[in-house]
Amino acid sequence: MNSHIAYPFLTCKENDITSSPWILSLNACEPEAVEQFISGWDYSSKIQFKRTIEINFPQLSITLGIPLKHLNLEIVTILGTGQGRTPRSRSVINRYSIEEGKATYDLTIPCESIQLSRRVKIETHIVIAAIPQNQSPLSPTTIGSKVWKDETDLRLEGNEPRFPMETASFRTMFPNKTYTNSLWYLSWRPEEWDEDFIGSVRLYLNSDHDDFVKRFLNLDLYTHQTVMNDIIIQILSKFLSDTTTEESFDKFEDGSVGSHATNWITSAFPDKSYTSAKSVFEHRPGDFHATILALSNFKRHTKND
Amino acid sequence: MTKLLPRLNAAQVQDLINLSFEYQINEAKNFPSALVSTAIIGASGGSRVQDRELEHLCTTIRTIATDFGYPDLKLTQRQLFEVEVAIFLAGSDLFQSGEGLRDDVWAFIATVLLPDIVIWRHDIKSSSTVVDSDEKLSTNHFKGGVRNTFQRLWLRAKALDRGLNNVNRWELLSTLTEDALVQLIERPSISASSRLSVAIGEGWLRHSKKSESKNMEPIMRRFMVLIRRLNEICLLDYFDDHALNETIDRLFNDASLKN
Repeated sequence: MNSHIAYPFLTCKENDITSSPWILSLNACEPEAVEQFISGWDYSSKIQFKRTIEINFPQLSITLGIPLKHLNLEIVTILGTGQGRTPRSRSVINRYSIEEGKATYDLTIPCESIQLSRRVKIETHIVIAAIPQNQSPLSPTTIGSKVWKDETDLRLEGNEPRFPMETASFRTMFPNKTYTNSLWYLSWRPEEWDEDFIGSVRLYLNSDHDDFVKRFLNLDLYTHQTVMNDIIIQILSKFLSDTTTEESFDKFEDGSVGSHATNWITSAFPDKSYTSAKSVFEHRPGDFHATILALSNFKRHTKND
Repeated sequence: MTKLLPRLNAAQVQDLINLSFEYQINEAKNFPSALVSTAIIGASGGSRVQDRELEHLCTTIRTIATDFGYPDLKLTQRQLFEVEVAIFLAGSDLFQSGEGLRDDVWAFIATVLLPDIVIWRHDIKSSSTVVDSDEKLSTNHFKGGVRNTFQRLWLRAKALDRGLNNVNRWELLSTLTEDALVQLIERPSISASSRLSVAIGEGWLRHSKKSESKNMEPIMRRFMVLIRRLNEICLLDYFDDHALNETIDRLFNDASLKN
């Protein structure tokens, strides 16, 4: 309960109710306890929260001053979303009747990710569900009176970088192009090295090739490696051919296309220099392509990290 | 699929207004400007909005504005203009997802796509007025939030929508006074629940009809204090329709008695 609110009626005490943390299931992955930030979320994510509440009903009856047979309570879960101190959108998700002989309640909140924005705030309330016929002078008597409440506020999306991409039918999006039948397409503007990477680079996966998209979304290692290799090769080939980039190397603003190119070069080539990468690119193309292919192996990065 | 919309954070809004606002106003009319094609958008989970969809948004709002005198005449029928824009925004496909709740999305619309309409709507005289420290409210019309020129209208429509099948779907939006709308929408602890907002709007309507001679402004202000206080100790979302309406009427009466 909020300690800064003076309730004009009796409310629950600490030992009347025991609640587990909310457990999050994201995209059918193993459920885990929620942290402050939900990583890997986007509008297409499948998301569900679960928790258990244990209620000592006889004890609660004493705390609230309402005899057991007159005590009618419900658990109500509310989901809020949208930025600001208070969510900009909130609605009741579920109601659970509390029964005298039942102590444990499993709460579930399925979320429509498409309706979420920046944060998820889950409120759990226990409220008076019927006017008690017999009670103490300080007992809550109005339907909806909050006798217990807790809140969990979680951030979505955050500052963690995610590769900008989307799935689309190329037959619809890029009809009659030479690449209509391609598996993927990288949309970007060469030579605009100062532009924001997330805003100016976008990978399109061709949903006309269902098997390929499934493999990609299921994080198939070789599929990812092949696509990433193409992306990095495309960008670095132009970067290293551009006469203006050597001077700006290491000076690009974080998050720009240029800073991504710089990071790839310093990660892939031992002496981390522009000159050495350019030399390999121009004189030993086999080495250059294989080096980038190795760089594109996420499993390698995971192990090394 | 979710339409991913361009975003502009508060610092970027300030930069644009400070550095190149006159230029930006002219650019906005030549859609799409460079700022549109290079804007930051969500990384994944949807489909990048098409330029033609943004262009349609701009064209429609400028067309509505033209009916009310834009660009040459001062806006005199402000409420009618805003109701029309709010209804259009509420029905637009672009804002049906969580993107509509993002401040930075609305900041982009006001600052990059339609700054000329913001200036016309609020009768801002020049760019220097916009950044004048004494005119903070003007900058707020561009930044995201409850005072953003377009976001506030979308929030109003979203909160006071009686539903698709209601023949007088937008009566609350077009009848509540500016003060009543501000009192409601700038209190997200109440307006975040559209069921609660509609019920309060209906209560305001009933009470204003009942007490024609009374000024609803102080009544609504006192009512909002009372209902926010009650909302702290009672879960108003839990009330059934009858109990909710009865409670709202009682609080309007209480607020009215103290007038």
